[in-house]
Amino acid sequence: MHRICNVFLKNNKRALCGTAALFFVCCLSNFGILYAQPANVSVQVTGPGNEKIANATISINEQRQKADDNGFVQILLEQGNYSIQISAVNYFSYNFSVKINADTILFAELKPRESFLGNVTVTSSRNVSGNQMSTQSLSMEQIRKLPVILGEIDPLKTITLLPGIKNGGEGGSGLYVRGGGPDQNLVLLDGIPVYNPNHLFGFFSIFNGEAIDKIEVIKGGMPANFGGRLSSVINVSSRNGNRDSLKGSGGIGLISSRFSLEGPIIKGKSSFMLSARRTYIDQVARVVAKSEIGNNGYFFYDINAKADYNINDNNQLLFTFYTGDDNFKFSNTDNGRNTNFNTLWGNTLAGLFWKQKISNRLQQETGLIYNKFALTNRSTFSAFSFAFASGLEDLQVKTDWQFASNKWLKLKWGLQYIKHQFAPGAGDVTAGVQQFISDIKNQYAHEAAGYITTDIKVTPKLEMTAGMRYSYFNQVGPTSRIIYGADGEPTGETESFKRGESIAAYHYPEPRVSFLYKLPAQASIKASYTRTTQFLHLATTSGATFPSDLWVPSGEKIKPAIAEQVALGYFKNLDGNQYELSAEAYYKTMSNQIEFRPGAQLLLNQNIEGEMIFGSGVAYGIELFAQKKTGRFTGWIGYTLSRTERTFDELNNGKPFTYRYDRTHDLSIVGNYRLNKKWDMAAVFVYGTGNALTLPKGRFGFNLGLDLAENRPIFTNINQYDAINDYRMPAYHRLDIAFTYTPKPNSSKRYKSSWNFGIYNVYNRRNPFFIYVDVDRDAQTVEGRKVYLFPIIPSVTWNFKF
Amino acid sequence: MKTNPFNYIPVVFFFCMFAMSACEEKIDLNLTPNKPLLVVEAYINNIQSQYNYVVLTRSQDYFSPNLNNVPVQNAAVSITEGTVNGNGVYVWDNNSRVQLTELNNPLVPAAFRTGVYFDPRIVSNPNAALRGNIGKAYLLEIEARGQRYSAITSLPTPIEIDSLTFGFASVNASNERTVRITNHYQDPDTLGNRQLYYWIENDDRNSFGWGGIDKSRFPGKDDQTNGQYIRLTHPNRFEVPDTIDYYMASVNKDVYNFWESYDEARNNGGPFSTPVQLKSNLRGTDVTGCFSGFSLSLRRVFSR
Repeated sequence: MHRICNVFLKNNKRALCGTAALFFVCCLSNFGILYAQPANVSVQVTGPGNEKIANATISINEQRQKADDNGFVQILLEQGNYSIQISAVNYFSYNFSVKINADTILFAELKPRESFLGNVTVTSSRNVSGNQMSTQSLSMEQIRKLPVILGEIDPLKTITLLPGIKNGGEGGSGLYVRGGGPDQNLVLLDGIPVYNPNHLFGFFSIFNGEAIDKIEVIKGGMPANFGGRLSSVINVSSRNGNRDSLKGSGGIGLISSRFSLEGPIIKGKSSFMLSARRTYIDQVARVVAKSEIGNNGYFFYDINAKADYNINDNNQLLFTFYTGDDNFKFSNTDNGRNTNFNTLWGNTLAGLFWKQKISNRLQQETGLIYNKFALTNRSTFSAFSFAFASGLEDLQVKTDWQFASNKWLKLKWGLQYIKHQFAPGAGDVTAGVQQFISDIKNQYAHEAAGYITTDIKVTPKLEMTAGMRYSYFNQVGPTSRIIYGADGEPTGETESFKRGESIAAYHYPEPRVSFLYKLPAQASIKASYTRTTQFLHLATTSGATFPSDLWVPSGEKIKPAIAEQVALGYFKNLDGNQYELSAEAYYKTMSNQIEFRPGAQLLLNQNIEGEMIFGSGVAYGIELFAQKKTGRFTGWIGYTLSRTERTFDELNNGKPFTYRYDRTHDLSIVGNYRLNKKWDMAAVFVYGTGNALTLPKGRFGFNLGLDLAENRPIFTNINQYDAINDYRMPAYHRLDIAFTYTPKPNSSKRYKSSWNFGIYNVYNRRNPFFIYVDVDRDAQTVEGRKVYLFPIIPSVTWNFKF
Repeated sequence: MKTNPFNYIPVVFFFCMFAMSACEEKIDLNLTPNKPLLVVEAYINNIQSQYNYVVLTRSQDYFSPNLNNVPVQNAAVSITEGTVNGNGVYVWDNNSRVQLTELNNPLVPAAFRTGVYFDPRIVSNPNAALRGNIGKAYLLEIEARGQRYSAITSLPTPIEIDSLTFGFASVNASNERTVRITNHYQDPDTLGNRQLYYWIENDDRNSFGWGGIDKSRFPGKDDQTNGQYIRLTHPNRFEVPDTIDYYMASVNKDVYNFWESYDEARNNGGPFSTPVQLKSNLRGTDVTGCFSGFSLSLRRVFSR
């Protein structure tokens, strides 16, 4: 391409304030114009501070295009005059006319509609026209307005209001997407995998609402650039810093406070964002219950940092960092019995990314990523002490390329390599002076993948995305291990592997394909097929996920899990896209699912693989979704009818059994109404079939003895179980409401604040946390008991920014 | 004894949730009817003939108003001694077969004699009563309500207790001291040794049966301490002064696994628990329990 002229157009700034947009046109011409060939028009949409606006809509002569995640779109147009409208959720739209007679780059900076932030909308941005199905996203501005327990904003909790995404029930934040397990979600923070996205045993996520920009969930039709997990991609993006001026924001809530600072490092070129959050449950507890709490306590904290630097117009560096820990201390001396429990766990993530626009058609992003999850525990119970450490550490490099050949064809390809190091739960137990040391060596693995995917407009009505991902996994030395026989007994022999020596290697093709067929009247049909492979497995014996759960690699005995999913959907927009409707059906099979033998002891177990059993799973369902996107009243209704089962030879006599988190009916209704400029109201109603549960059918006494002095038997009641998960907990339902008060919505002052008042569980539904059955021989009773956690809970949060 | 610090997670959890005032209430559960199991608790040891017995009970519906055990009477119960040949095949000595019966054992109050089966010689000729022999295998056979059941156990070589020592545990306001007991012994240089620990204190002497005395099991496995000189301290506290009969029971893998699963089952509870099935060594339909072979080492010590 030969640049023969640069035309730089800039609108009158006063006019921009009125139209709520900045608009630049840079025209690059080449010899092509001499032959009047189509022009390549690139549009870059940003917000204030050069923040990229993902999924902005660009309408050119009423033909709609969607920008990508970086606010960028490329279109091939015949030379001529065009009427263009650029719009995005929560931004003022902008209309203009432009004459295209050469390759052109349009830069549009949209002004945010701050006064309308209360509008809760799901940016299911490509409802009708996007080929990517089964994908939904929420911005933090939307999430912030919704009622949440204790006022603690939590993106992971909020996405469970979307169809097909379920939580583990009251209090749990494990995510179960289309029948998959909690370890089958690829949770990413700015592209960096997060292995334990929870605080406080799952009650809160690690994602500080102050630092997060948006969250996107892909639950089917997973693009080929994502892999390593079976069921979903949960893509969390943190905010970019403001490039123009120093700004701060924060909030003070019932259990935590948070503060963020952002601003330019080099004005207009580079910015930073720093955000921190800490809970003060421990501090409050020491005040309100000093005698009971003493110096015991629990807290967690998060620190997010992000920086970017524009090397030039075509090259940008991004740096993302996160660290957070949970810290729990408990000690008690009761009549000579000493109990101490000290545990610390958390994630550290860091990523450096280089984004480059090589040409108008070719761009790449290369990243260097580090992430670590570690848990340490030291406990003393009477004469016993436990020391335990586990975790894993990844070093990853990846590169993604994108090429837009013409308006009919786009190509993406890339490579990814991860070096894993697993610390699978080594530790020791001490009984007096006797130590039982678990000699569990670290494990290492190489994981790599390459992919290529293409978006093809087959006809004006038919689009296809076809991709192939090829994944590779190799567990390697150095390591040594004890060899166990088939009976689980140690053979007395050990096995050693040298550094880099292969222990078990796997490689699989993962084809992905999806179709979009446009129907008249703003409607379309989409279909997809996805094959995904997972090489890492979360070893847990409980129904919930814990930080003590172990991530273990595929190896000789543990085979990689493979899932195949087909999905079919109908999508329709109404009333000028004010309403979006969708209906999706899916069917998913999962092989090599892992469970542990009932009662398996995992901690400090040198033969953890010997406790594993392997089976398969199936999930299918229908998801219905309707939302109103604009106006004073916005919101959505999501409903899922689904079924998911597991089959293991060793469980339930080999018959399929209901997965614990199978939820036949799942309904979410979310509404947000703007009462006036100062007040917004939001309400959320959820209903779900109760979790499946295994309850005892019978009981018997064991370990029998006789108390001859009292002339009474001594025994322990043992429960007798039969079929797995054949009992249903009572249905879960709840209504939450929230009001947001902005005292001075039209204030032009730099400092602004708002109040969020919430009521969780308005009608005080006693949703079961768990159910147990109990024989009380002293009270002569046999009964079932339901434990519930959260009654009606009010909350208030004060947010500010400057 | 809890073997996993994360069994304390519910404690941690509720501590953290104190402000959220977890509550509970009665709930009606419509459980499907139980399929009754024969529950077998059988023991054979090398020292105490009185403690070689078989208890047969039947499981009942969870919400049955009967809080006591349901004994299974009039069963045919026998124990036969045997050996294992080089091919791993059991050879039973039919001449050693002992028929166990429900009898009027004076050690057992009359109200509790049904469903408890002893060698009749325990009353008529205690010295000749059934006693296990080290290195032998034992076959338990039961015929009850027209069904046949069996189990096999063995008595491995016992490990001798080298010594038992005491260490300070606590002292209360009345200056009453408690101590902890440490068991010293040499673990053999062979893999697969497993032990259970029982003791009878003065307070326990008015009790009968293995379930009437204290028991302990350690979380460690033999491959972690193989061939070491072991010094195990029990968390339990003993009064001072006291007389303690301390038993170290060497058991085979099946027996150890059963009692490990029993500990898991009895400690099982809370929001994150999963059902635990007992690892029974009984064969037959609709049966659970364990035929426990204990190779005992005994020491009597005085706490001080």
